Amino acid sequence: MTDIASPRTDIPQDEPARQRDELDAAWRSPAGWRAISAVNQTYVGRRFVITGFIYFLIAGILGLVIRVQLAVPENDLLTPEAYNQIFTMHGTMMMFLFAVPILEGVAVYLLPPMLGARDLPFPRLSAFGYWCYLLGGLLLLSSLPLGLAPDSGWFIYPPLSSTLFSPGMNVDFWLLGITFMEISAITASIELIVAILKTRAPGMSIDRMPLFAWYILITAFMIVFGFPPLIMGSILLELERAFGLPFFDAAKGGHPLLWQHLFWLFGHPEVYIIFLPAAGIMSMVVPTFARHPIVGYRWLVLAAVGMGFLSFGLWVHHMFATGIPQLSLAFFSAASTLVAIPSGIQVFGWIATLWHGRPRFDTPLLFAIGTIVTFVIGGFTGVMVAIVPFDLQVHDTHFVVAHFHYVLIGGAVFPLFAGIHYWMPLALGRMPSERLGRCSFWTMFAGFHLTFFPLHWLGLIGMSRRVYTYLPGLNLELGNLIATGGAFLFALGVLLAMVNILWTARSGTPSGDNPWNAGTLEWLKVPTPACNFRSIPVISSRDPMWDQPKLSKAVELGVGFLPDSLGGRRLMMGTSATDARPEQVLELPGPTYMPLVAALCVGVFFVSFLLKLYAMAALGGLLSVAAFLVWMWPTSPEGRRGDIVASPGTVLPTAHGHHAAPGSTALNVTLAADAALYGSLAFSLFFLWSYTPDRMGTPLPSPSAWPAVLDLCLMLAGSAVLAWAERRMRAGAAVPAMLGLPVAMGLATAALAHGLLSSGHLGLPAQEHALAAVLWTLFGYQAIHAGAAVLIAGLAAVAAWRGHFTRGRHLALRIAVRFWHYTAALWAVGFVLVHIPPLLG
Amino acid sequence: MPSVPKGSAILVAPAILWSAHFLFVYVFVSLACLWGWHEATVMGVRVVTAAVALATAAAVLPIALLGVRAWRSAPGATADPTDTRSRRGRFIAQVTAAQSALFAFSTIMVGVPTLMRPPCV
Amino acid sequence: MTRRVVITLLPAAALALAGCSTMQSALDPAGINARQVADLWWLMVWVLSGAFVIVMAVLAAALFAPRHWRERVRGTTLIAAGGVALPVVVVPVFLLASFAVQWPLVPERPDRLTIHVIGHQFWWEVRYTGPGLAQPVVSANEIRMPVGQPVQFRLTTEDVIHSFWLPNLAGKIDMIPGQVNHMEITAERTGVFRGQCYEFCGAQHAHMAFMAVVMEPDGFAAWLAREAQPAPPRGPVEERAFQAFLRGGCASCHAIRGTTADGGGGPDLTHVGGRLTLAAGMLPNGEGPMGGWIAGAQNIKPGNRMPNFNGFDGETLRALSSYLYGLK
Repeated sequence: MTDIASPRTDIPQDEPARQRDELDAAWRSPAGWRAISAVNQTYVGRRFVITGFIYFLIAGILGLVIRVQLAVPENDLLTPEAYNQIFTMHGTMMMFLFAVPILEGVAVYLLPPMLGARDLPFPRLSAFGYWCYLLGGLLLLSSLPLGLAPDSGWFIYPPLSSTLFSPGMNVDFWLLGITFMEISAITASIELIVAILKTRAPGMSIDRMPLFAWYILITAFMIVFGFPPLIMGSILLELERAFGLPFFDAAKGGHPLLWQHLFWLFGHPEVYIIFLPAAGIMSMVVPTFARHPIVGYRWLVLAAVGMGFLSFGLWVHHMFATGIPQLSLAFFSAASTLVAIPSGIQVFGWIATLWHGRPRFDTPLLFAIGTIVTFVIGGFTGVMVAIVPFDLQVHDTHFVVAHFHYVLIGGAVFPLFAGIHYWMPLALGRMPSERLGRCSFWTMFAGFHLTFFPLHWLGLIGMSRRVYTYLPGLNLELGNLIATGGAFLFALGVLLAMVNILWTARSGTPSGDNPWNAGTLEWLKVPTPACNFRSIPVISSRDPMWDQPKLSKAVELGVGFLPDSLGGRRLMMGTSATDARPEQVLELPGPTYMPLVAALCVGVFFVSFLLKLYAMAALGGLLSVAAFLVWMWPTSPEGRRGDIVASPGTVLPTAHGHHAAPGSTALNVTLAADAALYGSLAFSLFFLWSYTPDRMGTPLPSPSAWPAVLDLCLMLAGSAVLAWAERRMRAGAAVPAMLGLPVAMGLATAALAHGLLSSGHLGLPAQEHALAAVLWTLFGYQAIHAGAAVLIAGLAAVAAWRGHFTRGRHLALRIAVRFWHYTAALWAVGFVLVHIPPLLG
Repeated sequence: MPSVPKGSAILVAPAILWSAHFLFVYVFVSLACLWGWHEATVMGVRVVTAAVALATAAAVLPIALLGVRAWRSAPGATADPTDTRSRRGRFIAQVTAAQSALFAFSTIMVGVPTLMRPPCV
Repeated sequence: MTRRVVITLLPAAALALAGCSTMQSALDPAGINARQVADLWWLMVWVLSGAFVIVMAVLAAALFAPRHWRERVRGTTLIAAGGVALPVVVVPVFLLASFAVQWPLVPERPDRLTIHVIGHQFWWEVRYTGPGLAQPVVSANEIRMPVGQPVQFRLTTEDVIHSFWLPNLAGKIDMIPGQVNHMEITAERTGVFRGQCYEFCGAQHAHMAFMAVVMEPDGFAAWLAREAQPAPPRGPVEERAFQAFLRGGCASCHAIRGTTADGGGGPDLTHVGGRLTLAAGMLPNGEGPMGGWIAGAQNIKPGNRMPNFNGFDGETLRALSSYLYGLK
């Protein structure tokens, strides 16, 4: 609280031209090949969307190949091996490389301008996520030309995906490529949650947030809790494949259903993780083209939250046929049918908005109507398959193929195309061709229904999923032929939309500001300047562009917050979560190659692991850690602390090192994701433990508790020391932190060393029994966290010794301490998990 | 004037209670079936049925209370765009109340099959 | 030989199946469970079609109806009616109706005729046990069962996960390593039905099918008694063919009861000639297909576990096919 950074902001309007140029210079990204160092949300978002679209086209071509193969019975265009690779890659790419990332990309691109922010709060993190996505996707994709593509379905059920039945690298490509790119899902969700909660324009209280932000907020939380089960499942399956830890091997106490639980614990929420952002797009498109504010805003928030939660209670409906007791099935059946309520509210919210509006039938609205029609059919068949006895008939038939394409194309691809046509003027500054747009819509819509409607019928008359061919004489010929024809029509529609995009980019008419007369902030200025907003406006409506007519002018004149970059700094507003009261000023980093370097280091790990070069993989792991240490290395706070006059009369602290900075929220979200990951492992332990028939017999691991007690005590002692140091720091004393951090690091290092030396106490070698394997994995999990805690504490110690901590500005210490407490809690929970069940047994 | 809810986290409380109930009944029934508790009865009622029914009641009650409280605490509508506090308070209270209704119904729907289906077949 | 085999056999397969194109359809039920589910399906179709028409009518009205007409109904009323009331009424109806469907999964009943079906990549091992059967009767890729009686199925797998489904008779149940699933099927009419594997199980998942023959109880009893008999070679011709069978190495995977051939891992061939199909529901049975399959299994069904045995000369192959097809 010492230096007032610059007195110049007291008088925001005296030199608007200089301010504008300076803002522009501060936020501009380098041109040419150096642009890869850009971290601005516009760049990262656009990259996500373009990469996702390319993956979509590749996966779509694979889908066409599938339909060609199935056009006639006993077709021998593809060998069964090739077909199995192609259908696996089609599903995998559509779900992992297209649907989730492209919608995240749309969110990265649109949210800041929609929320009145200049960027996302952690630009380097989004850039890192993008590179992980690109590289992980390429790693997976590289298997296709090599003829080594995954071939056991996008769900890769063991034991088919175990080394016994899939000895090649195919499944490893899946596990490692997907896990690599999933880093981006987690980083993006952390980023988006913090952005939505902490960086909205002043006055945009949560009841004034654009619905898109609500949907993305819920989606991001769903990713935080929904992706970890899959990541854990992938880790376990890769450990089984690489090192023989028998998690899923029924002969050694494992269980193949464990994978199915972990996979669908992710896999069902995944469907809503895809649908909700798309519904968010719909909720922006519909009001604009109905020319009426959204009707039932509160209803729609209710529906989105409801779907977010209910979707976690549905996973077993993918496992109705596995022999689970029917009462358990009934719980999931009930939950699955209940989703009809929020989904119904959702659809009728859009209809009600149109009902009150004066619709204008431009291409985006056509796609939106297509969405409603298609999604309603998909929803109805969804209710059908939620009914257990009916599902047992159609499960794994083409009926289900039809159902989920209705839901995913109707619920995500059509909305996405609505969004693409809607926001094309924003991204390209030009209007798309209306005629081409209509053509592409009607072609896609007709093609889609022609392709997928007959599949309902084919499933009911017995056509299995995932078959490379079928026999003649079972009535399957006509439906398949129609479906294949429809698929080409659908592809033609996509092609027309692409032509439209390219045409618009080259020769569309310039759109000007707000060409559709939309209500939300992202349309304030087209093309959007590099800093998004010349100054940050104060929001007093859900549809500020409709209700605050002087907004644009005020922003341009610099009447809002932070009109001055204070000498080329990237500044933006930090506001409170519920009411969006101004709280702090964030300063963001500019272009850097660090995210790319870090992603490449992580890539070394994944590629080496794939090639079974485990020493090299370890090196890649160390390189990644080193990259993150460099990235996080404490830099001098000189000139980045103190208070800033954000607007006349509003003096705000800068966020740098501030204990309430967005980094603190981000850490909480990260820990929640990590806890979900650990929870998945704990679930695995319980699942296997409860299924082990001889759980009271001798062959199970019987870990001895005493070595673990010692280690746990050391970790807890570290926690106590750090808690004390942080309390003293809050009172302004930095010396306890300078001393406490190294002491705690020493304690944890001792616990780690002792734990590793005495790891024999876990009882059995990990390869002998699935339970032993889980215990070893738990131990490894805790050890990795203790190692991370030591490194994070080390970074804080460097900052402490360099004198960066002052009262109220000791974020690094806060993060180190909280991470430490979390790690100690992990060790405590781990102790209970490992040592209590044998006592009970 | 009734107090305005401070944060927005209350909005997800009904859903979290529903999740807890769902997790409990699912884990409980799975374990009971694996370990053969489903044969046991207490005063002529199957233990599994009784436990799920009790858990359902124990979850629905607080969800309903939460909903009623939220509904009653909602500040009146305001036409003043600068009165962010009561607008937002009304919003959170109403959405919370609606969440309670949705999730109370959902909890009951999840609990009801216990009364109609044998537990471990 | 290879390509030609495929080309010449397939039309035959088509013809064999053409007789009853609904032999693998959930909409042509022949069992209690399948019939009840088909009824449930039609109930849901009619109710939801009605709902769809209503939703589309509202959407059309929202887009095209005159404004003054629309303004009589508030949007939030629409949401409450369509989004809340509609599902709250419809969904419990479906759930209740589903409770009325007989549940196919049942606990084990050793006092009943039990058909053990064991999944293999890419064929089905079938064993009959139950009252009156001293030893399990082993067969493959075909199930015979009496009409009108509840029959137990005990479903397991030898390798990966498979799923057992006879659409005309009942819903499907997975076969999972380390787990035994029981289900019960009661057929309501006699006939020949086709089932298939419905959990993706590898290269030849598409051609992992089987036939189910529902017979009158008397006929079934007679068939089962015959199926339980061994099948030693009768006469010198068969004996010579059997020796070729042994020389070819067939016995390392296949068993013929009553002979020295007792291999495991492949289908039991004791009464292979009596089955309707070969290669797990892929080819019609007959001497020609039998020979083609022996010589070109990898060309007909690439990736299955049986290699091509193309070392036999033509005469031996014909003799072997004739012998095997004669095992009725």
